[in-house]
Amino acid sequence: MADDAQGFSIALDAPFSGLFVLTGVLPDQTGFGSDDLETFRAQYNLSELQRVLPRNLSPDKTTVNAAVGLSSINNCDDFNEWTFAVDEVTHEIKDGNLLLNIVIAGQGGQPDAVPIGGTPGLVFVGDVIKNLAYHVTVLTKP
Amino acid sequence: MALNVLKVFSPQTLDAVLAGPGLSNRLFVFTGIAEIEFSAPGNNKLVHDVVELVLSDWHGDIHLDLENTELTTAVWPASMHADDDATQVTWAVDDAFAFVTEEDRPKLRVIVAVQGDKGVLSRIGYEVFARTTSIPIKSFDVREVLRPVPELVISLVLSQNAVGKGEDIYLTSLDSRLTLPFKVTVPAGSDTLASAGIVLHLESFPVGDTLVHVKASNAVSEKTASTIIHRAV
Repeated sequence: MADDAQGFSIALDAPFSGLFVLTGVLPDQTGFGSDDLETFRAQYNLSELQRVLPRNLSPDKTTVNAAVGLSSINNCDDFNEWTFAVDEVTHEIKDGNLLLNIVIAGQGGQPDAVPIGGTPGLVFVGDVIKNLAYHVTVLTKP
Repeated sequence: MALNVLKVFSPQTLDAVLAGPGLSNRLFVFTGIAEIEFSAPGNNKLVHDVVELVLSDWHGDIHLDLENTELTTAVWPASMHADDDATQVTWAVDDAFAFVTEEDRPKLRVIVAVQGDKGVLSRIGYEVFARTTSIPIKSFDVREVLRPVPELVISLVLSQNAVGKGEDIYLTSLDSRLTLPFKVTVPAGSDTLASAGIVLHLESFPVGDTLVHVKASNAVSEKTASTIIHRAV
């Protein structure tokens, strides 16, 4: 299960206009992972996932706080070293949309998993880190 | 049958007043770590189960209005274990959502998964946000009226008019001889519970005077009132 976006807004007095509380589980994206430690940058468009969020956010009038944690992780015992990590969470507002950038790290994976794009040694992200849980608050000004 | 929550570590509640436009006047944030000890079978099979946590049990017996509350939640694995004999190991929170039950108690429902030899998902962390509307109780009083029938009369005033579908007030008494309704409702557009008479079963009380205490509460306030129940010879 993924993509179970939940959120609500709170109307605020000036100088603010709204506070948005957003949570959910991020869907699987592309893959990474090998016997060595690999990092992967995933990008999610929260404006598409969260209908409660205005589609015309302005970078100058928006403050964002984002936290992301591991929600679902898996590995097999063919690897001596396992790593599951959320290394970095940042955001950007582009074309009115709120984009969440997440750097995840993983080590290990399923040897017979299907490579992404034919790249040897890379496996689906679901084999190491599947779902990520997020909590994002957005404060907007009129 | 959902998994039992064995214990909640560090249950924390934040109650923020929302003073802006709109009907919602409260934001609650509930956080904690729930111990579930969800063990995998020894055959490397991936298993799923449901965890249900009644937040009211761990966060001050809070009641939220079913009609006027919106919730969002985030849940994640907090403590897990497996053995390296496992062929596959998995620890997962696959889905999580919170809702208000018919009894007006917020509940968290989480789907978890675990896999692997000696695999255990021991604890999950949670954060639940609730936006709601609840008007504080300004005053509360109870008194006994003997005629025409013995009754306990409740007087209650809110700090402002109730909104939405009215303000539910929960009544409790430590005296088991006093039978109270689970809740009373101040109607929308009013700040006063006009007259709520509760029939008294005087035969449950000893002859003479008995002091009883009644507590009225909602999500954002709590008041206690006392009165003497008198039973004549």
